[in-house]
Amino acid sequence: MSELIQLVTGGLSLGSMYALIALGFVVVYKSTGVLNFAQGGLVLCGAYFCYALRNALGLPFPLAVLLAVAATALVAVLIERLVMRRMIGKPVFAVIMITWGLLIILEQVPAAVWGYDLLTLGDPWGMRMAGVGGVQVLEVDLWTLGVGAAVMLAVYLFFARSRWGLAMRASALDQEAAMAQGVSPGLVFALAWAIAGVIAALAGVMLSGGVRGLSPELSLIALRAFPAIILGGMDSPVGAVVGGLAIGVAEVLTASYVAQHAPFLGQNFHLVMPYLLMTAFLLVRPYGMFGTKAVRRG
Amino acid sequence: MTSLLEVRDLSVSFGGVKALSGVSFDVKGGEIFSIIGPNGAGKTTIFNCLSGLYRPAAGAIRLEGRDLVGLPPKDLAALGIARTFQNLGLFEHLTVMENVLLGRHHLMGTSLLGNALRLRSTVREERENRARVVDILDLFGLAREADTPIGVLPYGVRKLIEIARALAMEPKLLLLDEPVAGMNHEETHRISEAILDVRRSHGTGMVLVEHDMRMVMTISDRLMAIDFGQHVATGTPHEIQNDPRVIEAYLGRAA
Repeated sequence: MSELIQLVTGGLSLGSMYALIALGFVVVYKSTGVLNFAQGGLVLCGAYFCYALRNALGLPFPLAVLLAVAATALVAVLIERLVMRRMIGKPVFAVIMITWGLLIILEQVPAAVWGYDLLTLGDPWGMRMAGVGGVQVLEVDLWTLGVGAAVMLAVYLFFARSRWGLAMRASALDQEAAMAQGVSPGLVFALAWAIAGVIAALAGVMLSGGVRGLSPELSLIALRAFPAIILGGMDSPVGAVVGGLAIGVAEVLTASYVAQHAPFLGQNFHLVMPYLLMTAFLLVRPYGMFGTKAVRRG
Repeated sequence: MTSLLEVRDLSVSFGGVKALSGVSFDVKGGEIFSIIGPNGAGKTTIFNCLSGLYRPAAGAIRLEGRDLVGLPPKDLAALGIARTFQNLGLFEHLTVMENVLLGRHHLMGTSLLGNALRLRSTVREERENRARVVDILDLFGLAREADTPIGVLPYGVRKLIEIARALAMEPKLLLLDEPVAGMNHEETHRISEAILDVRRSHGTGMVLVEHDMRMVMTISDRLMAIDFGQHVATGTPHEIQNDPRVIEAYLGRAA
């Protein structure tokens, strides 16, 4: 039982980060209609900015995180202003390929500067364990869960309560009517990307903290937010969260059970699991658990 | 009395087809001014110019003397022009409160960062504006519906809510695009009363486009008839009803 609790905690911790990355994707998709494959690149940005600020400049960790988040948001807004805005009204395929290209650029920059080695972020968690009700769990997992929950709550409050959140929801529903209320579509677009950048950076830091370490492979981890989105529904923030958590738990449980009971499946079968789930969902329920049927992929 | 809105020689073309040619009119503060004409005469085109969705090929639009041509919709909203849409511009998935609150977006001044951090000033601003929305809903007898999603409300009520939202913008000029289209007699009466109430309580100038002639003739101070994008006549309801050019535009040339 305590092993299961450990596994589920680890799975939820990982899943909460998938959920954040997926949430950033959904915010951009709903606000601007863009399928943003570069989201994983923003995750890398956040983690490497944090690494550079912590190790090259020797800043305290919390300050490094804060500045890395701000810098990533700036990168996201620049991408929107300089690239995506010129693509408004262009064919969907061209827009997707542009974000794909941006992902590759964002992946290559840290690899060129710091190489492919596994780096330590310089975070305070390391390998430390914490005892919760007699069960030992990694401290970094608890922090990750805490950060994940806090960001989700903040995103929820922003969209549910604030006038800017309301303006963004309205603009996603009917841009022309939103403009007539004095809402600027350009600002809504920039804001969506900034939010995606903030969330991605936090996810990047947490995903490379503690025992996990930092390498350009992080963008592959970020890619697993896509199965989460497919599970949850591309246009549903709730779906992003549920899908992310489900993928995280499925991945961690698979890793453990395959090692114990089905070693013939190999050591990396858990990495396949999210995509198996994604494929199954695409066959059975292509708009996801919480998505609207109008959203077609193709 | 000086004019609230001045429109001079307004012309719009779509790919060589003239949708409007040289239309001019004035609207005074607190006046209900209607634009009538057969389908395709250019009524909605005028509205789209006034709310910044179309940029006219020529002509001037001035609100209290300030030129509006070329300004984007969000700036026009901030300068005091509110509109309703012919086929409703409400957000179906949002509640009545949220819809009307959006009308006050441009009146709210707290910064994005303040919103993100939920500073005390942000929370206070939200509370004050929500209270203001309840006042406006009260005026229309809709305060009880504040938390209802738009999607479940009947059409007539939605039309009222859209007017409430436009009013929440505290506009100088209110553009009403077919506010009683598709409504029965009773609903039409309710909207007419609401429009007259708004004028009484807020002194807002209004431009109305509507096909329901009985309603238009009852509540308008003055009317302008247009046909094929051209001015036909302007005058009081009595003058317009008896103008041979208007009768001809509507009924065709007598044999």
